[in-house]
Amino acid sequence: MSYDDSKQIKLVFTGSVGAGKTTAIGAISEVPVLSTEAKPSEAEVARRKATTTVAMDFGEITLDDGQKVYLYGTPGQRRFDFMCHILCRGALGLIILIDNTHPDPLSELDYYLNLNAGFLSQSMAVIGVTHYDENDKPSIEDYCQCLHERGEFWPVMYADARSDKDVAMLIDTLLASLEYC
Amino acid sequence: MLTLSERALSSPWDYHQDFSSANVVLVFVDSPEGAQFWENDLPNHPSACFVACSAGNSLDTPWKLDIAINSLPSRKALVELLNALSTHLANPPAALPAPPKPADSPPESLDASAGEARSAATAADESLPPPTPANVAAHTGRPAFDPARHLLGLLQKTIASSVDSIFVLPGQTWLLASPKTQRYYSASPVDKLQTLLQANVDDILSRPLPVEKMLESALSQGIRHHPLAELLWQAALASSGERLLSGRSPQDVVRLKHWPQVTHLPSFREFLRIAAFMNNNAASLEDIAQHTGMRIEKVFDFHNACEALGLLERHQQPAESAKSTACLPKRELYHKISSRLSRPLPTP
Repeated sequence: MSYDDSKQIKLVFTGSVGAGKTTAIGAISEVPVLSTEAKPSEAEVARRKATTTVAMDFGEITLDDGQKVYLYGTPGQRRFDFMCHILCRGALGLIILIDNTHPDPLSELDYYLNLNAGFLSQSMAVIGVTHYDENDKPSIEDYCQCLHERGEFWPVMYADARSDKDVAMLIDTLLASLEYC
Repeated sequence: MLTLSERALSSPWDYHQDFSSANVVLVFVDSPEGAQFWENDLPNHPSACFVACSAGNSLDTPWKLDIAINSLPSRKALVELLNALSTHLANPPAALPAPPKPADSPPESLDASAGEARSAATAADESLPPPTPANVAAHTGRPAFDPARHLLGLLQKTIASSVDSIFVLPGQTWLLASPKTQRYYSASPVDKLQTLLQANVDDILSRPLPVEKMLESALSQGIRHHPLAELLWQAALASSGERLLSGRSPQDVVRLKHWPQVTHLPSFREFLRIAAFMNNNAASLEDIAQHTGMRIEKVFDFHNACEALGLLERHQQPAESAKSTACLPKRELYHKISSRLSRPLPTP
């Protein structure tokens, strides 16, 4: 069986460690999320989580005509950033999740936008700010200001990765934006 | 009250503390001093017009103003009286004029725990102005949307003044808007606030009330708070009525400054396509309706709500790329995915 990612319908979730990528996919996937987790090798990550994704997360949903939409989550550790480029190949768009309890969430946003700049020059992103209930600074307006300074206008909203409604709203926003980019 | 009413008055009026120099004197006859003045002192001031202010006014006098007990007269009643007096004083007839139409029943006083103040809004003429090209949405012939006639206008003034204020629809519901905390507070869920959000400004009572004082009072029972932006959004949508904002045109070219932060509200979902288009394109309201396939009246509502949130950029001309760029098969795929997500997702 050959793998042709150009024919897959896929959405990619990326973002910092602990932002909720695995959780978000699990919130809407029809199948148990296939995770590739291990103890983190980076000390900073180990302080935040007991395990972390090392290759990718995988989930799927089935459309009414039987087509599958595949949901991929990238690893959060920086040493696995190369997986972003592999997984984004042929994807419809990118959902970037940023943990607002991170010491510097706006720098994380900058990082993931830079990392995926090549893909985003041809496609769209939506930004979900997670853990907003635990820490509401920076505010969504601060994120918007950061994007404006970059000359970018991706939709940004707070989202609970555990909520299927919030995750669905992120995807719906991405799809609506893809129509009019 | 005079300052608040002056926009609707046909002549300028000044307030005098010394009634000996006044043309018109309002006498609160329900008080002992006022009753005594009315009985004994009127003949000593033949040049002035005396207005009997009373609850349940039964005095035989040409000029009356009905008020609720321990309250001020309604702004509408005051405006009617002063405009009638303006005409009388400017053209004094030989005989006494017919008394003005009795004032409408004033709004109920605020609940005792909330105080008894009146609306702080600028006065608005009760009757709609006749449609003119300046204030009519050209394609509908309906009067344009004027936030000043609804709670939205009061909220905008409250935010501009940075003063926490409580708003009451007597006998129905209330809320407190706090520019200081950027929240609004209410014991009622959003659906129960609709009557207040849609109410005419003259039916709404309001006064400044610091949020700390409200939280200390009996009003704090069952109170919940939400972002103030959500209140502005809902107030705009509730009162917009698919009409374009006064002074705006369907040919206005606009774009979103950034994504609206009301995505969690159920009312946002129906505007998702409009928001996505306006986030990526500067276009006229007519073009937005055409490219998104949405009715232009829905575009008006979204436009008005975004204006209330300060989200609109106005441009001189549309961007060249304002169009739907996705091909039909892709758009169909996107719609299929959204359709699937709108249904309950099975748990693995």
